[in-house]
Amino acid sequence: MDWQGKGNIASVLFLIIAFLFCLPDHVNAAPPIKIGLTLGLTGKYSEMSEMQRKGFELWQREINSKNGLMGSEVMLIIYDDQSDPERARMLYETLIEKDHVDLIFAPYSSEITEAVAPIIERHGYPMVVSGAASDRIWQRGYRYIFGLYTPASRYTHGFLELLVMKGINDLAIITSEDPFSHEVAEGTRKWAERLGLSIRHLEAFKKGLKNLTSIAKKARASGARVMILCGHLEESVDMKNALKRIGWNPIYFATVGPATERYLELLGNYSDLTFSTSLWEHNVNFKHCKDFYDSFLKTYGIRPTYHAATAYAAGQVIEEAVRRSGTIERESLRKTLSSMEAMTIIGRYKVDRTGLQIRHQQLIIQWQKGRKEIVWPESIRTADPIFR
Amino acid sequence: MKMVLRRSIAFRIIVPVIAVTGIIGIISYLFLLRTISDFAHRQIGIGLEEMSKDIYEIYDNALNELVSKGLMNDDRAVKIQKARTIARIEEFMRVNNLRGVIYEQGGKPKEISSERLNMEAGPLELQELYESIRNLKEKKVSRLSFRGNDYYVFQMNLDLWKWHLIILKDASEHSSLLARVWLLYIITAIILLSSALFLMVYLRKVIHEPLNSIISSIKRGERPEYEGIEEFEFLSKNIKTMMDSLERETRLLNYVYYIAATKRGGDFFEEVVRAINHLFDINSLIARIGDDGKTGHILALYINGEIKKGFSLPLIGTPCQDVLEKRHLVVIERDVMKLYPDSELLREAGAESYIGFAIFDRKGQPIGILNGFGKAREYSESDIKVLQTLGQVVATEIERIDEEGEKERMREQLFQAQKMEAIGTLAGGIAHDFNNMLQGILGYASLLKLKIPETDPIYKPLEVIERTAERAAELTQQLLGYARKGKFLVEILNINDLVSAVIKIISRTFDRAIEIKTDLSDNIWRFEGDKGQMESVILNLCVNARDAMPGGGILTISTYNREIKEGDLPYSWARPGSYVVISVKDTGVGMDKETMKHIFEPFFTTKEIGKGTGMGLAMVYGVVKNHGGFITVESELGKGSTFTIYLPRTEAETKKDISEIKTPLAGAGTILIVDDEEAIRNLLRDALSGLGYSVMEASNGREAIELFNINKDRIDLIILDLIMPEMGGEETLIRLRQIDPDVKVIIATGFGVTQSLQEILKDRKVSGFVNKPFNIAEISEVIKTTLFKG
Repeated sequence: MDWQGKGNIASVLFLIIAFLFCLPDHVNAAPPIKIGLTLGLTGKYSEMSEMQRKGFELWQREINSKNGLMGSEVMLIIYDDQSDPERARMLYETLIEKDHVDLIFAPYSSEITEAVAPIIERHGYPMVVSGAASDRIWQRGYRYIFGLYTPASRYTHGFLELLVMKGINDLAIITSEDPFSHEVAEGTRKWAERLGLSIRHLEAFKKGLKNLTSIAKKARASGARVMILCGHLEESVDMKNALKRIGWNPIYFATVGPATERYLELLGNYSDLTFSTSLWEHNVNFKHCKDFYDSFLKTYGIRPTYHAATAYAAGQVIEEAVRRSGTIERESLRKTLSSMEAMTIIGRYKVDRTGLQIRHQQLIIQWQKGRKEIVWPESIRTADPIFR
Repeated sequence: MKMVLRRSIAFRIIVPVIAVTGIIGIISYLFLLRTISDFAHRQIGIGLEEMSKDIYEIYDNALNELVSKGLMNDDRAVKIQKARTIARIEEFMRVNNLRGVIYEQGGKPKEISSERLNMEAGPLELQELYESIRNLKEKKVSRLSFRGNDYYVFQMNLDLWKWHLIILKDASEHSSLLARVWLLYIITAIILLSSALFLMVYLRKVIHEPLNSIISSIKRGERPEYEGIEEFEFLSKNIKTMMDSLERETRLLNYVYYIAATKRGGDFFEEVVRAINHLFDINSLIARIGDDGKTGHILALYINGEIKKGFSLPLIGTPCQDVLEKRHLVVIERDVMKLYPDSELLREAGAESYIGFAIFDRKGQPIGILNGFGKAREYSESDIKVLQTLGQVVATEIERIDEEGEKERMREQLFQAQKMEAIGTLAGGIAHDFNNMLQGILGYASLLKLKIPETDPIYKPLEVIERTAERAAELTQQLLGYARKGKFLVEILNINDLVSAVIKIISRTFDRAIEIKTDLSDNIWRFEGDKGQMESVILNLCVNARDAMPGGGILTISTYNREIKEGDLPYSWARPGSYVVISVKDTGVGMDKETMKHIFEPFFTTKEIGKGTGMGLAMVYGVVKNHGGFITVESELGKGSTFTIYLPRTEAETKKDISEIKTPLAGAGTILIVDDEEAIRNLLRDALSGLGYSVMEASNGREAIELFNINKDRIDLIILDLIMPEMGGEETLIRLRQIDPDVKVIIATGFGVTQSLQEILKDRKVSGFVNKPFNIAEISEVIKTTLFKG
């Protein structure tokens, strides 16, 4: 009897504790809003993907702490697509058809985003592209795909303006043969033409080619003063190494890679004076930008790259769209995303009728003595560019 | 053939369908497609202009930026700004689905921007295109075709940077709209055409084919047997029914024709009622309408298998009454007895249904009715038509019988008239001779009486001879009156006066059991006639009436005026006109038809022998006819008779009565007596000599002329007989007048004043006349008057 009585008291206590524990979760009686996505948490995009995961999760934490979306808790379902487009496709199908997610976020990289876009489009899920800049994505006539930041074709524009201002004319454009890089190269060519710059050498190489020495030599031979490398982190490091090997030290610009801390880690001092495009830097003075940076640093103990910031910004855009639509109904969200204008930690959000981002402003950074300085646009530069 | 095609249903439906389709097509092309197309072009033009303003604004802002930063002279800054501006313009173009090119002017034109969205053309071709655009005079919106595509073109100069901007807009974006409209138009056209086609096929299926099937059956003379569409089935069935009905009617009409052609009179009506029973399985009745309009004289009645005829039925309380009153067809399909509970005929037949209608003669007057009655049944239009046809035939037969009857009556009348004429001639001849003989007897009796005193024992016998002879003369007068040869002293007479005179006599003499009534018209017309004859006519009728009422009764004498028209004349010889009418009506025994046929014949009497001469009505007939009038008789056994005399009206005024002279008057002078009858010559010679006259005698006209030629100075007066052998009185008179136009002549005749004598009296200046047989006193008066007239 005693034993039984104790058992009863224990049960009651358990229930009370359970109730207290459950209380925060049950403040909102509504079922959670499930948002699904894949990221290349392993494989070639793992670096950037990991940053993005952290960005998404930080947003999730913050939104849930602010009473969720429409009063519902946000639940993220993130699968690892292993940086493989096919796997990503399969996983998005799973998310939509098995997990019955309410909304989705985009994967990382133009390659994978392009691969999953038809599925997303078919199922009618509005998707804010937070990890891809390839212009082609928006040339397919999709209705549910919305760009978040500057497309590839405009990545180098700021850098080229700096060259004009400096009176430097002769360029060598070297590009990896992935879609994103190709588009960057094409955009560079076009802008160079507009600005009256001279392209001395233009060459593409297969992605994965490690030794770029011969290409570097050809570029040097062309009489170019500026080397523009269109690729990701690995290619930017490889080219820098090739330049070192042949003892040529042109004005060096590389996309994507140099914007990460990793570039500095890999090249050490040799990274100095490298220009690159960044989509976000913590020291731009956009609203909540500092808060995000601080929060990220506090949460993860590391500094966020623009990849984390774009992920977070994607969360902000979705949050704003839901707020404006007053629903998570996907067709309403699509319409809102098509027409709305918003401010995120990475800058302005506004798309054209193809969904291409047209208001985001990219940054040109330069490594100067181990510091990543914003050198363009002039109005928010943290240091003057150094050409040597 | 063409006309047939044009008049066909298919043609008349197809042509409007095609016409309407065409009109709808043209209207939709003109008003819808072209309007949309024009509207689209205009909107595109406006849109392009708007966009050019936007582009200009991009350029303008870029310049402003440079100006505000004081960088207009900084070539590098300008270069960057130009690149940015181009990018912005490009972006604008992309967003707005435009493509274009910017040329930098001065020196060789250089393409500095091009968006090649969806334009499948090499750079050289594009170069060519842009060059051709630059050369266009129209610097605003225009259109051009390039490699099979249409473009809207807009170009503008951006002067400060010496840019020439060309913008292209793919017209195919709108042409997709237009294409849709076109498609819609084509689809509509196809739908319209296929609808028209379908409609044609459908109409052929649902109208033309059924109609054809029906029409071809009819053309072959067969019954249409169409089955399918309700309306045509209805039509087909109806045509079939009509053809059946037509055939049946034709058969019936043949039957009716057979009856009409082979049967007459009673047989005909019998056959008709049998036919009605045979055809409709009902009883039937054919009746003539009585004059009262309430009685039907049955011509034939078929009732429960029996034929009855020759009796009358009251029509009141039967459907026939309605038929006659309303003059239209009455059809009662059931429960007729409830409507006419008093009709014995219907009850006897156990009739439930009734059909009846009046039948009319050619003048449209109802002359009879035809009824059918029997078990409850419905009458189709065809049934009614057949019955009405039978009714027509019956009407024709009734009329035919009537006409035959009328002809028979006319023939009878003619025969009667001829008979009367013959009897009249015979009677007249006898009476003439008899009159001459009586003249001798009467004359000499008078003469002898003059010669002897009244005390003479022979005087009384002479008086008896004279009275008897006078009675004989009276009889002769009546006989002559009948033969229209009686005396005729024409006067203007008022019939009412004559009636009053007669009533004076009869009211004194008739039995009191006979009530005498008069109904005399106040404004009675006058007529010309012999007063004495007319009085005796009325008296005669009254006497006859009295004799017809041995047990007493009412004698009514009426007079009135009457206009008689052509159709109302009872005798063929009578003339239409205004008549003075007198009718004498009794409530006596009446006459049968056979008696009525003979009443006007001389010596025909129904009275006991010795009670009547049989000359009364004969005289009446003769006198009336002699006066230009006629007499009718209506009589029914047991109910009495009515004699009605019609006398032609005269407009002339009343003449004074001639006074009578009773005593023979003596005189002097020579008188020539012309008479073929020796007895008369002797009587006149003796009598006139006795009165103091010298007398000469001639037995005929010739002798008289000869004597007068010799003795014309001596002869003062000639007494001339009219009827003589060799030379008649009239011719003699003419010859005498030729000898001496002033010779005095007295006509002596036993035939009264006939029409021809009237003319002789007038034209030949006859001095006077006497009726044979005459008495001495009468002729002495005339002689005296004539001689003294001088």
